[in-house]
Amino acid sequence: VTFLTLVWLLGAFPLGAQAIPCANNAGYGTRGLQADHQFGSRVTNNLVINPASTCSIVRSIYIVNSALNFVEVGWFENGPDYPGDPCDDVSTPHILVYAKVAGHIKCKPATPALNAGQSYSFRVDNPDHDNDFVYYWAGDQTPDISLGYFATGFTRGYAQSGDERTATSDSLRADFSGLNSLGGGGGWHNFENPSTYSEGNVSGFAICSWSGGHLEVKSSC
Amino acid sequence: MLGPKGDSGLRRRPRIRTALGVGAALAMVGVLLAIGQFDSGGEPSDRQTIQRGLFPGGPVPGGKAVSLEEAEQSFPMANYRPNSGFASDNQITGVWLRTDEDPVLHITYESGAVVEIRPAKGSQSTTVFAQAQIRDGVPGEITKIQGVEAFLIPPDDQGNVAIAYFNVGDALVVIVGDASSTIAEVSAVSESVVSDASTR
Repeated sequence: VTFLTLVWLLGAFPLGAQAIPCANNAGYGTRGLQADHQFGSRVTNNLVINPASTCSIVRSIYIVNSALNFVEVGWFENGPDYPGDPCDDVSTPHILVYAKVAGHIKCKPATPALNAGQSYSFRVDNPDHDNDFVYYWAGDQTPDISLGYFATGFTRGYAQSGDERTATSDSLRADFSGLNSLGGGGGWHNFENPSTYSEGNVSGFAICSWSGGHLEVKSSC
Repeated sequence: MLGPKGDSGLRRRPRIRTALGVGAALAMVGVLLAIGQFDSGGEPSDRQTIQRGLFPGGPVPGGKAVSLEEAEQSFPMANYRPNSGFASDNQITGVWLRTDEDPVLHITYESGAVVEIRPAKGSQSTTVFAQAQIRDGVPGEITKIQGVEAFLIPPDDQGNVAIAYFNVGDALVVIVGDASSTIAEVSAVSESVVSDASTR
């Protein structure tokens, strides 16, 4: 009876789904903001895969028109306890192709998986200024790999970089070496030194120097 | 499939069996305590989401938080505002303004609703915008609000909220509800904005 009860309990409460809790500290990290109108953003190297394994993590670059209008490309990982965010549940790193258009979330499903510990580059741009932002993987190569596009209804915004996750322990490196933004004339502009920002609701974390001007978010430096 | 050997084994080790039973019971208690701890620790961990698109300076990059009076003076176009039970001037919780060549006014309300206004000039018509969104799989519909063409998007269980998008006068207006808003509530705010525009 005891064994059967244990089997029943494990069936009713699968431990794998919540075995390791994540603290409620969503939305901390570092941000860069290119204070000029831009039509695209790219990172040419070192968007490093640093999986959190049980918690959500997103590393990406944006073009933000407003909180209701932005496009985003990078990589993400959702632990098994984070259903529905952003569009697929994945327990290993995958490419993120995401947008919010007039407040509505768009997300490309079934994007390619990435390898932990590797570096990847990404690009999103609107070179024709025609409301359609195009997403690329391997954005530092020519030709690079298209991930498709989203019709957005806006043509430009502010270039921004972002690291976000919900986790408590391991450090989160914010390496945006090779970050560029696309100007109205079609040229890529250097964006090597983004300003840093830590969300106000995540006390207990600090932005620390990692190496070569790159950043790391840890509980203490 | 317990045979004589198994039965024999159990009979020969009554103390071990008792210890195993107690251990299993303690393990179950531990499991239940652990589950209880995870489920009662504030926000349920399985419903946390990452909030993307937030950044220093509020919801309008290149803009700033202003008073309603400042917005009325500085926004370079008609500042249509709703006056409904869901969103009205005395329920405003924040006003953000950008006044460069891509001006935008972003107002938040106690209900969680957001009203964002920008010049319609240079933007797509509601129909063109809506058709592009529908092609992308957005589950909205083109309808009319007091004769004004509007694109309405209902809320869903994937984190999307109720939205209305329309052009009125010289403005492109987007109205976004919060997680509990219905499309009827957002439509009511839209009707109020359209009414405000018709009186100017």
